[in-house]
Parts: sequence; C-alpha cells; structure tokens
Amino acid sequence: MISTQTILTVSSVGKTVTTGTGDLTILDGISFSIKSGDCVAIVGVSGSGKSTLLSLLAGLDTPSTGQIELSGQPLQDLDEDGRAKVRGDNVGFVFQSFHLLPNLTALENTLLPLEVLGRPDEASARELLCRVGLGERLHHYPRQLSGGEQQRVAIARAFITKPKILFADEPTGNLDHVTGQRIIELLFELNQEHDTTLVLVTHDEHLANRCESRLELHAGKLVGTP
Amino acid sequence: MKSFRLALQLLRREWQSGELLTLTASLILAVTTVLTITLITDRLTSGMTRESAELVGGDLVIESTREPDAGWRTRGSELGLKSTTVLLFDSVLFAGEEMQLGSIKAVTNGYPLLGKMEIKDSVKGETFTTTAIPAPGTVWADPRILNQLGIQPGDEIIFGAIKVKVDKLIIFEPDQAGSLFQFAPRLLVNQADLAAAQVLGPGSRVHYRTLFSGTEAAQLKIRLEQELGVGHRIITPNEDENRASEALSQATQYIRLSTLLTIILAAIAIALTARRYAERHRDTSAMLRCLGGQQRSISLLFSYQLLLMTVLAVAISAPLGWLLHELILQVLAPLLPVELPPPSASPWVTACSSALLLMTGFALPPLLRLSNTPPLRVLRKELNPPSLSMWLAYGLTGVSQLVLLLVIFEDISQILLIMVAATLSIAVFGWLIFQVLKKVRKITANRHSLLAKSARNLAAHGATSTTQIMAFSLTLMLMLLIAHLRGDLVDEWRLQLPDNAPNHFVFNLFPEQTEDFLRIASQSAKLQPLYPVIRGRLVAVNGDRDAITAGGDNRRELNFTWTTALPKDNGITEGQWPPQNGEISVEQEYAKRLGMKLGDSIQIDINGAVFDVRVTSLRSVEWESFSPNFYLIFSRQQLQDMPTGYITSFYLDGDNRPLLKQLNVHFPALTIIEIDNIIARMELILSQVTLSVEVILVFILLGGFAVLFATLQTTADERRHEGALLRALGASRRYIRQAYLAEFGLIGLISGLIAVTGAEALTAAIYHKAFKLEFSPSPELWLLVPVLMALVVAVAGYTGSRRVMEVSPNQLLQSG
Repeated sequence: MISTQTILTVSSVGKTVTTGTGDLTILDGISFSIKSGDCVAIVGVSGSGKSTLLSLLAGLDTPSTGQIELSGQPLQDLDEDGRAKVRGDNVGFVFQSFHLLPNLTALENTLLPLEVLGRPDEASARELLCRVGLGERLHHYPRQLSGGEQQRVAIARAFITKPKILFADEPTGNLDHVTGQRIIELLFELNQEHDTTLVLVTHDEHLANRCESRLELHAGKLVGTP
Repeated sequence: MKSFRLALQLLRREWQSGELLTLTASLILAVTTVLTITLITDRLTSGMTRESAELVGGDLVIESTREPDAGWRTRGSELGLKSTTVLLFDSVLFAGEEMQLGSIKAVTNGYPLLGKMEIKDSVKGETFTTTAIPAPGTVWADPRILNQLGIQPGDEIIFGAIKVKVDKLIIFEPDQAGSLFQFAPRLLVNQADLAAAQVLGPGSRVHYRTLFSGTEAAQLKIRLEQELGVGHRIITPNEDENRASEALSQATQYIRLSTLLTIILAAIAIALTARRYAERHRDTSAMLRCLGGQQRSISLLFSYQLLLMTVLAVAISAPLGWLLHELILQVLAPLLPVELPPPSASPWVTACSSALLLMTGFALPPLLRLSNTPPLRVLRKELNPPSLSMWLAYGLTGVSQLVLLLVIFEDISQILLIMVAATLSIAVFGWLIFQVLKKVRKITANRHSLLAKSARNLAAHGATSTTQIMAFSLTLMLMLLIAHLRGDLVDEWRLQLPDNAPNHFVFNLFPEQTEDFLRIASQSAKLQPLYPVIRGRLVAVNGDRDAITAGGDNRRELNFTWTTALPKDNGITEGQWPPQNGEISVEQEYAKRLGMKLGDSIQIDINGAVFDVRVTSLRSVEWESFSPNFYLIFSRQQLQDMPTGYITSFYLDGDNRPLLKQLNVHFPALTIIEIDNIIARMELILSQVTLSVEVILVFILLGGFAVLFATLQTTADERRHEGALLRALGASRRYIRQAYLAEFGLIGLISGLIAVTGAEALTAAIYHKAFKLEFSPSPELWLLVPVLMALVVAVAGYTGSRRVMEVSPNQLLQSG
C-alpha cells in the first residue's frame, strides 16, 4: 500500500553531550522525512550515532538542536509526559535485548502496553501471540522462553497497540542467524499486515537491504537519504 | 493508565516470584513487633497499674483526718467511678481477762474496690478469696488478735460497747500500702456496728480513706485537687512512694525505648530492601515510560503497590501479633497475679499507623524516584533516575518519623533529643568510616595478603561498605544498648529490694528489755538497729501554728527518735549531721509538705512538755526499705529523759519462726508485725516487670536479624556478579571463599567496634538523662562484641554468597 502522508519529519537535528573533556557532538545537521507505511533502515558503523538517532526519533530523548515532528507532534516542545503520550498513542518498540518484564507471563507482557493505556484487551493479545507462533506458551515466563521466543513476545507487544510507527533497535542482535532470519520474516509480515511504518537500526546488511530505503550515518552525519 | 489494576497485577506476579518477600517480611516483622509489644505493654501496664492500685486501695484515694465531704463521692459517681469510704482507728479489744489493741478498719458493702480479701474460716482451714465484708455483728480478725486474746474463730469479743463474733481470719487485705506502718493487728468491722459500739466520739483519732476506682480517676483528681482543704491528702497508685511504682515507671520508660529501637531496626531493614526493590525495578519503570506511561501514573503504581503491601502486612501481622502477645502472656501467666484487662484500641492504631508511616517514610522515597527513570534506559542501561530532591527524600523520612514518634510516645522531647543525637552521630560516623576506607585503600595498595586484599576491596566499594557497616553497627549498637539497660535495670531493682529485707516489725519494747531482746532475737533473726520511739506532736513552725494544719498534718502524734548514727537508708541532702542538743533532722518530703527549711524553729510537744528545736539537716529516706524510719530525728540529750519505747525490724526465714513465739512469751507487751505478704507482693510485681522487659529483647533480636538479612541482600547481586567474574578469570573456589570470609569478617569487626563505642556512650547518656542511675562501663564487651560480630557477619555473609560457587560463572554473568 502506498501512502503519501508524512509521519516523521526531522529538520537540522543535532545532539551534543558534555563529557569530561568538553562537548561531544554525536549527531549533526540531520534532516529527512519518512512517509507513513515506509520501511527505513538506519545503518552505520559502531559509534556513528544510530541508536542516538533512534532514541530521538522515538521521543525517548530530546535533540540539542533542530526539530522532530512525529505524527504531527513537535517532540522537542513537549515535556516528558507529553512525549510519553505521543509514544503510547503512536509508537511501538522492539529492542535488541527484548526488555520483557521478568515477572510477567508472555500474555501479560504482550498486554502491558494496553494496560498502560488503560484499555486491556486480552483476546487481542492471545490472538497476536498465536500469530507469532506462541499460542502454546501464553503463560510462560521470559526465563522459560528461548531468545527467539522472547523476541516474538516483544514483537507481539510492539504490535498490540496497532502503532503507526515501529522502532526496532538491532532486533536480531542477540539471536543466532537462523532465529534472526525467522524474526525478520515475522517482523516484515506483521508490518505488512498492520500497515505500520518501520524504522530499524541494524548492522545486518541483509536486513537493511529488505527495507525500502536506508539512512546511512557516518560520524554523526547523514551520508545517504531515503 | 489504570495504575491500581496494573499495580495489583504486577504485585501479584512479583509476589509469586518472591521478589517482594524481603520487603513485606520486614514490614510484617515491624508491625508484628510493634503490635505485640504495644499489646503486651498496654495490658501489662494497665495490669501493673491495677496491681499497684490494689496496694493503694483504689485508682484515687483521699486520705483525711476529718470526715470526708459527701460531695466527693457524688462527683465520683458522676464520672462513673465506684467509691467507698473506709475508717481506720485504734481500739482496745477484750475477751475475758485478755485485752489487745486492735487496728480497726470499718468498711461498707463495696469494699474492697480493687482486688480481693484472702480469709479462712479457722486457723487450719483453707484460705479463700472474697469480695464480701463481715456481716453486722461479726468481725474478721488478724490471727494475732485471736492468739493474744486466747480465743477461737466463732468466739465473741468486746468491741466498744458491743459484743461481736469473730467470723473469719484475715490472711491478706489488698489495700495495705496505706496501713503499712499500722502496727496493731487488724480487725475488720462493718460500719453499721460503729454507732452501737460507741467507739468514735468527738476528738477520736480517725483516718478516713475515700477510695475511688474507674478510668476517670485522673479526671476526678484534677477536679478535687483545687478544692481539697486542710487535712486531706490525695494518693494515686503511681504517686505512692513505693518501690513497685518506681520500678513500673522505669520499666515503662525502658519498654518505650525498646519499641522505638525495634521500629528503627525495622525501618532500616525496610529502607534497605525498598532501595534494592527500586533498583531492580528501574528497567520496568523505563519500559512503562517507553510504552507511554506518565510520571504520575508510575508514581501512583508504586504507591499503590506499597499501600497494598501495607494492607497485606497489617492483615498478616494483626493475627500474628495477637497470637504472639497471647503466647507470651501465657508464658508469663503463672507470674501474673491478676487477670489482665483487655487491651485498649491504642495498640491497633499504633500498629497500623506505624506500618503506614514506615512505608511512607522509608520505602516510598526510593520508589518515587523510579517515576523519573529516563525512558532512554531501554537503550542505555547505565542511565539511572535522578536523585529525589534532598528535601523530599529526607523530609518524607523525617516527617513520618516524627509523626510515628508522636503516635507511639505522646511526649517526645526526650526521645527527640536521642534521635537528633543519633542522626548526628550517624552522619559523623558515616563520614569517618568513608574517610577511613579511603585511607585503607591507599595503605593497602601494594600489599597482597588476604586481609589487605579484602580491606582494599571493601574500600573500593566505599559507599556500599559504609552503608553496610553503618547498618550493622547501628543495629548492634541498639541491641547492645537495650541488653545493657535491661541487665542494669533488673540488677538495680534487685539491689533496691535485697534478699534479706526485714520481714518483721517489732515495737512496744521497753528500755529495760532491750538487752534481753537483742540476746534472744539475734540468735536466729537478722536485726536492724533498735531505735527509741517517743510519741509527740508538732505545734508550730517558726511560731506559726497554721503551718502544721496547712501541711495536712493536723497535729497528729508522730514517732520521734534520737540517734547519732545516720540510718543506712537515709541520706543527708542539706545541712549537718548529727543533730546536737536543740536541733533536729527532718525528712525532706515531710519538710517540704510543712514548708520547713534549714534553720527554721520548730515547736514540739511531748506529753505536755513544749520546747523549740532548730532544723539543722534534711534527709532523704527510702521508706520501703522495711527498716524503721522517722520524719524527725533528735539528739540524745533532747529526748533521753522522755518516756521511751523501742522499735526495730528484722529478717527471719521460715525455719526460724519459733522465735516469734519465744519473743511473745518473754515480752508479753511486745507487738510483732509480719510484713512477708507485702514483700511477696512487691517481689511478684518486680519479677513481672523484669520478665516483660526480657521478652522485649527477643523482638530487638528479630529486628537485628531483619537488618542483617536486608543489608546482605542489598549487595548480593553485585557480589554474585563480581564473584562470577573472578571465577571466570580463574579464581579458585577456595580463594573466593577466603576472600568473602575475610571481607565480611572485617565488616563485622569494624561494625562491632563502632557499636560497642556508641552503645557505651549512649547508655551513659540515657542513664544520666532518663533513669537517673549511675553508669559503670563494661570492658569485657569491647573485646567480645567485635570478635563475635566478625564471626556472625562472616558466616552469614558467606552463607548468603555461596551461590557464586555453586553455579557456573557463565550462567551468573548472563543473569547479572
């Protein structure tokens, strides 16, 4: 499905942090926009600023300079609770280290975002877990699941709110090659089914190539645009 | 975000995973302890006050030499108080040719207000208790009256103008304190017989005791105090000058202090476990924020969790505390002479508020901090929530502590002083330890012994080690303090009531009999000195006759004596001892009551001989030492020509009782009073108080264990991780075991040293301030405590960290 609506606009974004030896520029003059339904890979070597850029795009952190507009909301102008609301309404996450709550079952972990938003819907969570192949493991705790299974729960959790945009940070980084491949397949399938915009950070060329466009970072600057 | 629902869900899951066990267990321990202690103290204190009230005869007693105002009892019944008036006077009793002075107590229905009489039907009959009184026309008598008069129960005696039948023998009467020094044997009569007996006429020397009992006694006291005129004296159980009430007030002080310390221990445990809980929930909090959770919702979420845990802890602690307190009271039951009254509502209120305040003050601040966890932590694990503002964190803790103190202790000025001192010393000690650890790190830099390495490792974790050492030393210090105080208090009480306290009083001994008496009595009894007794009156102070009546003394006859040796349980508080001719020494409380000072001129009347003497010393007197004691002591020259009898007291053990008969045969006029009953009663009260104090130690100990456990838990994760790393780097199990033992041992040793220093200093201060007792340091503790503490912490710490050696380093590193 082709969409022309812009979901994410980044204008002249920079990120500088203060260290013991002075200011360190991590990102500098980044500008681009992503249309709804796009699939974009952020690539670059270690330390090029990929994860920092992802954290800014998702509203987990604020830029030092420039503007980011997510789903029409200027993130830099919002306070933390405002950004939390934007995230809750629009964003899904998949992390390299899964970030499941150890004391909750697969079902409860999947349901968590809806609990946070105050509209729990257990049937959807069950359905989604069946969709990712964990229909038999609803009541297992993360420690009882393999890495691949844990990432499936994380993916189910990411899609449960029907987010407009999904951010994935090295989603296969902690998995072996075969499992990683399966997870990627699943991620793209669900992305298609839900018509979600996908922004993922990866080292994996194969994964990056499956995306419609790529943003390549080098020493905090953008060298390729979508 | 529906915080409550989510809080409940997370709590349920975390409960199942055991995550919350330590925190909830600490709170349960705290609440159970507070509840058990407050229930026991509430009931024991009211039980002991009751006991003490029994000795006095009521919750409020008005003693007067004039007929009491009928309005007092009306006012009392308006306040829901029960009351009765007892008349006390001496009267001579006859049976055939024999006569005996009897100490008459005339009572009406309703007497005794508190406690029960113990009586028997015949000399060899069974003793039983009763709350009845003699029927009109009958009397109950001290067995000595029957002895002296040579009669049997059922026989008649002449009491004034009437004949009365001796119906029962008196074994024990509850309200003895007022008549402790009443020497003639007791005859209990019904007031209905007084008119016919015609024993009381104008000018008769009668003491009226109006007894009140009920919860509003204090209220009546306030109302009556203002309007009581000359010749009346108010007595309440706690004001009565007796050793039992002194012990009671000391015990109450002690128990309150122990409760405070138990709460502090629990608070430390809760603060430590809550901090750990918060640290382990940073990821959860970051994730929730990442998923769109608002700060307020996350604060609410954790607050609800705490509230739910508090409710749970209270729900578990309430029956637990009740059972425990019942169990302890069951253990104490054989020693409890009275049925303990049911507890008031205050222990429940105290326990619930303690739970809430402990959670608010000690667990909430670290959890509130969680709501500030940056969501970015999901990508960068090193990001921690910013510290709460100092004002908020310490303000919450401080305010909740203050409220807690107010809830438990109404008057907190003294406790506040201790708390401020404790906080200051914690800060100073903490800083000192931190500095010392820094130095240790430098000193041990190039040394490679096991001890040096352990010390260096301890120093490398400066902040954590300081916290641990502080927690251990504070806990131990408090435990030492409480054990210390208990031991010394109990010893103090024992000293106050020696094993061989005199149990018999002797009077009516004539001067020419003293040599014979001493010869016979000293064979089997432990004698106190003999004192001459001269009866006389005070006429005026500095020429002012009203001073005597104003002081409530009403010109009654007093026992005077002369001696040059200051009696053992007397102390000169002002002036010069001994009194010379024309001088007297006055008991200080009596002097205060009559407004006498050093140098005052006192007019005395002995059998019509009136003369003046000057007050040259004031004395303190331990009235309940069961030795003869006197308000006024003269010089020998002053009194030697006056008609004199002698008085003394002695200790006689059960095997030597035939001496009493022997003395009666040799000295027919001699009167001997046995005071064993009163002493036994007092000893019972003291043992009860001592036991209740010992029970408290168990809770302090539990609190100590909670802190030990919580403290070790706080660093357990870190240690496991480090241990796994060391093993991965090739360290043998033996190496790690030795390192742990040395490190924990060192923590214990340092904590022990600090604890013993602090405990000794605090004990000295508390002795001085709260109990007004002398303090003597205990050098053996200085060696014993640090060594023991090193062993305990080494073993406990090592046991807790053993897991490091049992699982593979890889597994630990991955899970950490």
